[in-house]
This record gives sequence, C-alpha cells and structure tokens, in this order.
Amino acid sequence: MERRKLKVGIWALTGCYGCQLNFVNLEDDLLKIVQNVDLEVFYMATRANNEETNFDVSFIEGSVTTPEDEEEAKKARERSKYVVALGNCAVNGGVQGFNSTQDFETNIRTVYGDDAHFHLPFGLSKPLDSVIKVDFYLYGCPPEKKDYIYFLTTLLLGTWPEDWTIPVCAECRLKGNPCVIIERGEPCVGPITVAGCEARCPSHNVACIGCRGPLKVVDNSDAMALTFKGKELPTDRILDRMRLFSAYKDLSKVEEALRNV
Amino acid sequence: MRYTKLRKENFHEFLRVLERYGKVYAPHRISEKFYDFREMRDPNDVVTEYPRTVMPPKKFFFEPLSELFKVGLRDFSYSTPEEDIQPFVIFGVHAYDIKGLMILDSVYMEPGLEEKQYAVRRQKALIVGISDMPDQYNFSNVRNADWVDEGFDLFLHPIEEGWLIRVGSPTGHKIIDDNSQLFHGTTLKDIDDFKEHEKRRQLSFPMCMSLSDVRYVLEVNWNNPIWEEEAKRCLGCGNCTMTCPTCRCYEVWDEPDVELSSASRFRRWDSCQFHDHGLVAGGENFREHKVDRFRHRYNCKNSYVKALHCDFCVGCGRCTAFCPAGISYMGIITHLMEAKVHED
Repeated sequence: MERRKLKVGIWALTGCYGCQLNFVNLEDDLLKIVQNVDLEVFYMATRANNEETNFDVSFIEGSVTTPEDEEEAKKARERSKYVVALGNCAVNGGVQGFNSTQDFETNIRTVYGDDAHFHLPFGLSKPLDSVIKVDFYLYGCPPEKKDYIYFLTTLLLGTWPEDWTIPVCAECRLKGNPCVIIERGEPCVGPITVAGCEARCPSHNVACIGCRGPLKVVDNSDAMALTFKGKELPTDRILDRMRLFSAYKDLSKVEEALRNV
Repeated sequence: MRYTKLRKENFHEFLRVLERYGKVYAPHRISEKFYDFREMRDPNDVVTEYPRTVMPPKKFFFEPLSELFKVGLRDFSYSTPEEDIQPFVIFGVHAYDIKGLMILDSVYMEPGLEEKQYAVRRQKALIVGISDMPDQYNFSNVRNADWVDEGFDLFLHPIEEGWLIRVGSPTGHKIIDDNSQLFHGTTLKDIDDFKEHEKRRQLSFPMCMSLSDVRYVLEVNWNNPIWEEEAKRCLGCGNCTMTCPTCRCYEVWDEPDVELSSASRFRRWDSCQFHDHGLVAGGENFREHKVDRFRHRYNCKNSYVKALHCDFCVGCGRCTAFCPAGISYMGIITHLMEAKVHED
C-alpha cells in the first residue's frame, strides 16, 4: 500500500527547544519516521526550512511571548491542516508564564532592576490557543518520545491521536508506588495533572510538579487545594504549585474553596 | 478440612520450597507506611503482618496494561500475543483479597465468557493465604469476607509455635505431602491458640453492623446532599478504583507501530471516577458531573454478585486508606443509614 508522505513542520516560538530536542532523541525511530514523513520545517535540526509550503501537520513548540511569535503561529496555522501544541509552553504558556498575574514591566524590574534595558517588544508568555486554533495537544515538559510517534503514526493512518484525560495518579498506582500525599503530606499535583509520563517523578519518590499541565476535561483543583490545606500547606504555596506549569488556568475556584475553609 | 502445623524455624524453608512451584510474590514493605506484593528475593524481606497492600492481587491476573491483539496493516493479518505464563505463587493473601479474586472470577471466568488472559493466569497461580489483624479501615467482617473456605491452596494462621495451616486444594495437599519434613501434626494446644487468635481478631474489627439492606439505603438516598458535599472534596484521581480488589473496568485504544506495518490494540485499567469513563459517541456522557461519578462507585460496589450471593465490595478498606483527600467510604454509608430523608 503506497502512502503519501506526510508534510510536517516543527516550529518553535519562545521556549527552550527541549521539545524539539526530544524529537531528535528518537534517533533510530527518527530514521523510520522519515520514510513516511517529510520534515519541511525543523528549526532545531536544519537551516534548510521550507516555510512557504502547505503542511499536513505543524507541531509548534514554545509560548507566544513576542509579536514575532504571534505572527509565526498565524503563518503556520494558515498553511497547516492540523496544528499540534507541542509541549507545556505551547499548551499552557510554560513556566515563563508563571507570573502572569502581574504586568510584564513589574516582572522585568523585579528581576533585572531599574537600569536594565530591553529592546525586544515582548510581553507575558501565553499559550498557543490564545492566538490560533489548536487541533491537538501534546503534553509534557518535554513530551514523551512515544507520544511523538503516536501522534505521527495515527495522523499518517488517517485517524487522530486521542487526548489524555486521566490523571498521573492512575499511572502511579499501576506502577505500585506508595502515595507521597498520604504518606508525607507532600504537595503532589498528580491527581489533577495529565498522565502519560508513567508517573516518572513519584516513581522516584518525588512529588509531581505538574509539568504535563492540568487536565483539560475536568477541573478538580479546588478539591486539590482543600487536600493541601488539610496537610497544612500555606495558601500562597498551594497557588504557586498550581500555577507553575499552568499560569493561565483560572484559579478563582481554588481561591474560593480556600477562603471557605 | 485438613490442618497441619508449620513451626517458626521452618518458615523460611517453607518460602524457599514454594519457589519450586513458581516465582513467589509476597507482601513487602515498600515505604514507611505502604506494603505491596513484590517478587520474593530474600525470605527475610517478606512481611507476614501488614494491614493491606496498595495494589490488590488482581494485578497478577488482570494486568494493568496488556496488548489484546495486533493487526497487520499491509497483509491485514490478525494475531493475539503468544503468552507463555509460567506457574507462580502469591504468598500472604488476606481473606478479603481471596474473596475479591472469587468475585473477579465470577465476571472474568463466567462459563462461556472466559477472558483468556485472566483465565490462564488464574489456572497457573497458587494462592497461599494468611490471617490478617484488622486495622481501623478494615470492615471485611461486615462484608462476610473476613474468612474464606475456598479460593486458596494453603492458608496460614498464626499460633504460638508458628503457623497452623488449612489445606484448601489438591495442590495444597501435594505441597504438604511432598515436603512432609517441614510440617508437624497439630496438637490440642495449637487448636486452642488458633481459636484464641481468631477470637481476638474478630473483636478487633472496628465495625459491627449489618449491610444486608445497603442497596435499598443507597437507592432511597439517591438525592441525599452528602453526595454533593463529599464529591466536592473528591480529587477524581481514581485511587479508590485502582486499588479496589474487585474493580475491573478497562479502556482500550489502538496504536500503530513506528513503521506503520502493524497496529495493536491495548487495554489499560480505567476508572469510573474519570470524566471520559461515561463518554460515548456523539459526545454524550452518562456521568457528566463529578457527583454522578462519585455516587456511581458506591452503587456499583454495593451491587449484587449473583454467582456468590454477596456484594462487590469486600471491605478491605483500600478506597479509604488510599484516598489522598481522606474521604471515608464507610463514613458515607453509615451516614446514609442514619440520615433522615424528610425534614420536619
């Protein structure tokens, strides 16, 4: 059965290029993938990028932080059948979006002082779907290698990647780990975080910090906050914990729940 | 039933003997407060007194993740994974978990509808039970799951000199007969020890009540405000169902291989506490809201197992002990039993 090669772009906005790096890390599998895929744009791997073509699917890494980011995102959208938000920066704004409750100028002055000069007209880091339509979300910081393969192979077959809607706890139990919330009262956000990492951190006895971002289909962050409050964690630490990888999440439910304790 | 005695000094040797019948999995302490079934490497690491393991023994039979079949994308071939399941031993299973396995059997080994992967593992497994001392979450007595007469090959009860063993299957007899140097006849003193221990054990259960009318209690309390109140605290994390010895829902999905030569269908444990559990084609959801999912588990666990004339819940207490939000299963049920529906 002859299959048309999938035209793929791997674009990058403001981010650490880690998502692209993990794609390169596929190594042997990458050689198999390119049998079926033409990588027309891949900022990290090549300078020979063909941005003017039409794409079957564009993976876009990074948050929308500068006007150029927004332009680039729109350009990719116009030329692509599907757009995948690649990694936490694109899905949720990333850690650089953390202090989104304050204005950009205040953040800059807090970190660099009054004498610092910045010429780039950049601002707060926003998720990709705040400026363009996103078809699929590939979670993680960075995403798991198997996820890239799953996304490409399903799209190649003409179907689509199913969204992750289960929390890290599910995979944590399946791995037979003890629970760090119950045992040590740690602020593990596994219950409200998208699974798919096979509970990597809790498997090393470290609380989940939510790098795959909050579940999109359900929001149990208010219950999570109540649990943490019950473990005597201070309110600001609870809010910080929940904002770390999801700056743009509406935490009003959480704040209300904590006020009523 | 046949009774025999295993002296303390022969206990480690007994565990070594079990290895001859297959790989031995036994309760191990995996952290400060948690226990789990792990492969035995050193008999010294095996724990004989533990409240409950995180994961019930169902994981050995109904695996958390498995491949169901593979389809060739070029030749459209169909194949199921070839499994070479070797005999294995699960040592130290509490009575409620043995009852849990019998309940799973009634579903996955229903005559004519056997689930292949489950059935082959059940046939290969040897079960050695052990008596438990209940803690504050254990209400298996209320569920008639604190004692089993079948479902095991051997069952150990602590006595002063070591262990009194009940023999529950032809394989169990064979283990005793083939290793007779390890076992001794029971004395009247051993029987008294055994009876004394059981009496002490029965008095240690924190709850003493009947749950025979629980289905009607749940039915008439469908709109009780406690569902909303408690669901607010629920994290929807699925710990209660993942650790439940009788939960058996699963999710399937397809994954092509990297060369697009084949695609496999995989199966993973699912939970009714997850949003998409009730999601069907067209975007409809049987249990759209958290409170629907929360209440559902209570109704499902208390539904009736026709084959065994019991409830699906065996009272192991895992869903309460392993709930990060600290929600009490029996706390809610006892509240419903006492709650007034009509307000004056």
